[in-house]
Amino acid sequence: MSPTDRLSEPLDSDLLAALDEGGTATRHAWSVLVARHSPQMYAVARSFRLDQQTAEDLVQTAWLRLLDRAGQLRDRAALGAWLCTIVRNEARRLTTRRREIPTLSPIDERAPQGDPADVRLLRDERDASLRLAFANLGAECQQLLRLLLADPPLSYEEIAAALGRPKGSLGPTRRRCLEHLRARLPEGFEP
Amino acid sequence: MGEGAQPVDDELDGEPLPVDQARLLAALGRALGPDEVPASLVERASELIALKDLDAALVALLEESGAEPAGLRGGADAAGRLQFEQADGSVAVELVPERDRLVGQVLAGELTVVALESPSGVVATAAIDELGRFAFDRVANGPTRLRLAGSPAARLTTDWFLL
Repeated sequence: MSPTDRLSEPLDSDLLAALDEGGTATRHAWSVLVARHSPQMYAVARSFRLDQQTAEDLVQTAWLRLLDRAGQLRDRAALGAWLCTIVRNEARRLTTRRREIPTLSPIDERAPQGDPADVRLLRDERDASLRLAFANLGAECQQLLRLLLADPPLSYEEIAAALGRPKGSLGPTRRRCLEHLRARLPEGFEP
Repeated sequence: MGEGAQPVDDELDGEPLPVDQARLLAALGRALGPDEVPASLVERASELIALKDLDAALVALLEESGAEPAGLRGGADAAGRLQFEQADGSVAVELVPERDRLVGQVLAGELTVVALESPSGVVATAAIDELGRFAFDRVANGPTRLRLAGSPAARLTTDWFLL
């Protein structure tokens, strides 16, 4: 993803190169990279249903990996996807091992508040239906939809890296997952 | 008020997202609510730069499966076992994280001492017995790596991993 309003911002590849300059330049480049990519990496960790603390630790671990490996990256422009792959690999290792890691049910998560009572009541009901339908989806669909909804958004390269799947499979999978979601909603449901 | 995130865009590799699906996805985003990024996340990661080049003299033992994400090989096995290896194969270490405990074995190389490190420094040290085995008890969760020393003067660290 390369929105035009980012043209004036330094590229990942330039920032990675600046890591070897030392002193202020290194620290500045690092802080720009960290601010740019950490939210997306956190979203990837959370998409594996890890609790907040574990997800945050996972992001730190991935940055430490980069610190050791920055000089060995083959494609410096693909840093975002590389970082998402590291988070994915560690998340999978953790979830196979730490069965007791607290995972979250989408039903537990609270809906946003702040509208007049009658509007809110109607929306609460619809949101509850959506959360229930979502909770009944397979794990892969839940993960893809969560990644598509992440804010700030992930690029499709990053989502593909997070799922360990080819980018071309995302479109068809998204369509199928949304069909499954709709099929689990009450009849006549209007989003 | 918390407005859910919008879909990235309406086009995914040539497959347009129909309007009704886009609305459904947006409604789901509102229903699930935003997943706030912890305030400390970026700040903590920024501070990690202090660790750069402290270890310039050390050689890294790379995790077998994670050395280059582009060429994924297997990943974790059922036990979450970690294997680290030096590029020339002269040193290899295997780690098995257990509940509150970390046991390991040196598979190749003459190593005598192993230290457990967090980003803030050495947390514990352990001796390596004659069979190459070592263990750490009561290890805390968080980013971790091993620092290994032996003879003649092998000084190594493993990749960072998460306990």
